[in-house]
Amino acid sequence: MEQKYYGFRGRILRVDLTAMKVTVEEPGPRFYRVYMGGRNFALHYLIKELPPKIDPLGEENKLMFMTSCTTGAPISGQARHTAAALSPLTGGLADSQCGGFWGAELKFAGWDGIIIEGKAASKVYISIEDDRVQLLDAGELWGNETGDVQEILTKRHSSKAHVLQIGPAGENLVKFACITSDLKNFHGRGGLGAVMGSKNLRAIVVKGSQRKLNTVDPEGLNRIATWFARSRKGHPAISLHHELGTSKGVFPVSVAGMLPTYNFQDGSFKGAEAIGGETMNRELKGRGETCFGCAVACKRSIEGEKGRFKITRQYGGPEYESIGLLGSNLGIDDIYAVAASNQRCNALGLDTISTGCTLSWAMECFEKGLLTKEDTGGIELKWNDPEKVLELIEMIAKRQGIGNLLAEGSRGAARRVGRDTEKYAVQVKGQEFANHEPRGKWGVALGYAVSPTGADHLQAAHDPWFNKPGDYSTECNWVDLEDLSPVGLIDPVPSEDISAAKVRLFVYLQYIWGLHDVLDWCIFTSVPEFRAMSLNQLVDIINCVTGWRTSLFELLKAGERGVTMARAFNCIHGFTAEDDRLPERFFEPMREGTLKGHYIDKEKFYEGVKLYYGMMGWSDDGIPSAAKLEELNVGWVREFVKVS
Amino acid sequence: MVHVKVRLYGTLRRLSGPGTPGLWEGFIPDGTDINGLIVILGTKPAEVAVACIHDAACPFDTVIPDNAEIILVTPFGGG
Repeated sequence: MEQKYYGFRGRILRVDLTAMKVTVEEPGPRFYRVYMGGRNFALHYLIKELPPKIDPLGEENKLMFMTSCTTGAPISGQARHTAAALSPLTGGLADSQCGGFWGAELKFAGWDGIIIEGKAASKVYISIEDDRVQLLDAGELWGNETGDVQEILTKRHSSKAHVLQIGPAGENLVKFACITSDLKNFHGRGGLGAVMGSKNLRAIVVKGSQRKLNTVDPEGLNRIATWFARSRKGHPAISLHHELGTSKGVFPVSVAGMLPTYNFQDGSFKGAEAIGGETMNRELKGRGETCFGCAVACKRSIEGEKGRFKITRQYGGPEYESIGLLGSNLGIDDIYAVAASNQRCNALGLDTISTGCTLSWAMECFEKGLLTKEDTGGIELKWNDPEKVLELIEMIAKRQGIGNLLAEGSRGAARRVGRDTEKYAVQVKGQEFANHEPRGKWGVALGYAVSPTGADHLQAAHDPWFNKPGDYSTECNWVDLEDLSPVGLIDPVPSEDISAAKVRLFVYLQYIWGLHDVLDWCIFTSVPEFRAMSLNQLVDIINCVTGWRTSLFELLKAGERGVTMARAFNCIHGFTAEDDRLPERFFEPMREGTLKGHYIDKEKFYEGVKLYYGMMGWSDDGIPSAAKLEELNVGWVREFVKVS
Repeated sequence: MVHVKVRLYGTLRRLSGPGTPGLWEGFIPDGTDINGLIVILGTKPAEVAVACIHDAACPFDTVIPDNAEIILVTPFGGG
């Protein structure tokens, strides 16, 4: 194939499962420069091709898998890829980035992305080996756990092939079913696994032979990659991340009073240390694993056995989010039990966050007498009951008994049950909260409210990093704003604050975090938490790969473009400002913990939301203005969304 | 001098005593507060998000009593 692009391959694969037909699209250099990758590629197609009022689990929905200009380049941080579709959980955008090896492998096979449309008449999987794309019978895969399917497909195709697949939960259209990549990496959120299942598509196996990405300045790229790999060894934050991964946060967040406990009623958990990263590492022989080409290697791998909890390294190990929501939020203080629940979710293809949060909703409702044994088929729901949690996970994935109700997610289940139970569903737009209590960090609360995918903790860096003035003279003082000074953020802002300064901080951070989703770049190599690669180094990396002569300005605009296109997509699908609402719980005082009595000021919060719309160039109703869409070079979106 | 045990989390673990990851134990001058302890440990208060004495969160100007068990944690974002 003639090489016309740097970083990209110049081709996107379109697979029509109804017609069982494969076509190749070459969107051209302008498309690549304007949209850059990941989320923006997906939104370009989703906005143009998904009509309003369609069923997310119907034939008309489309499922996108996209990479960016850097995916597959030999440098830490580039190994993620995007999946996106209309979400069955929220009815709006599902957009999720997943690490591992699959995205790079897709690039090595010669493709920048895949558009999946239609619905296969029978169960299928897709095999991609460079230009050889096959739709193959998946009859014998259906119903199997993800580990079994991984083994069958790697044996059948190649031990070096990489497998993206759903589990039984996706087959059974559980609204928060996930997609897993090589068993240990996940498109966790938004029910993308159910979308894949609704298309009768079990897996996409990829193996590529073009293993070197063409870059404009390989020496320059190598210099940055080598600097990062060397400097990370003496870097306290990254060394710790390598040692413990995100699980390092469980105990500190509990001490700070922001670890969701008993369905977000409390913020500190007595058993936090027992389920924390240090304990997991010690008890379950923790070790790090990596994504493609990354020197950080923060993924967890664990093994151990206690009673009926047997944990193997096959499915990796739980991240911070999974530990909290399958642990403290259910009142569980046994790391073996938490790891076992995480393992079953991974084998069955369930999002651990929504699983944990839906179960905690059910437990609180049962405790309050709003759900009874009549509803649960005789099952008693209570806190700190790991055996029951394991049983319920199986029932959800198979939609059996009470599991069929819980498979709708907390909001869906609450709406079926009624009895005022929706007030205990900790969700926004139907998607459950991640493992972060927002009453101690109001910027995270803003992110939960306005996120286009429903409650999401990765809209921006979290407030505690910006609480205090920094000291630029101290190399090891990474709790400061130095890394954000290139975008003009220089003043500290208190965590429990929703002033104009906080909203401005959030908006700029959302551009930066949005850029990471566009570039499919990992936040764990970059600012501000790790103070490793700077924003300006990210600019250098893009230039070394593409030769674009880009700037921080253009990259941040790409991030903003993604946020605004996502908003426009949701507007097309019926969302309004009324959907940017937090559950009432967060305007009420916390019950226990370090932040006992803390709450978010409701009036100020919604003033902050309005101010956010204004700063984004959206109307008071949260609709992107024509002027903003034109300014972001996506004026064509105007014909799809009603704008002023 | 007062005796303290300090449990260190996040990147503060690098300040642990030799052979005791996550723990620093020793004597500090009478009247030392949390701010002072952080400096004695070799870092700056800006790196610490929350301090606890005997499992209760406390302001950084709290004077540390004898035989105090202290927890120091860094901020944590998301992931």
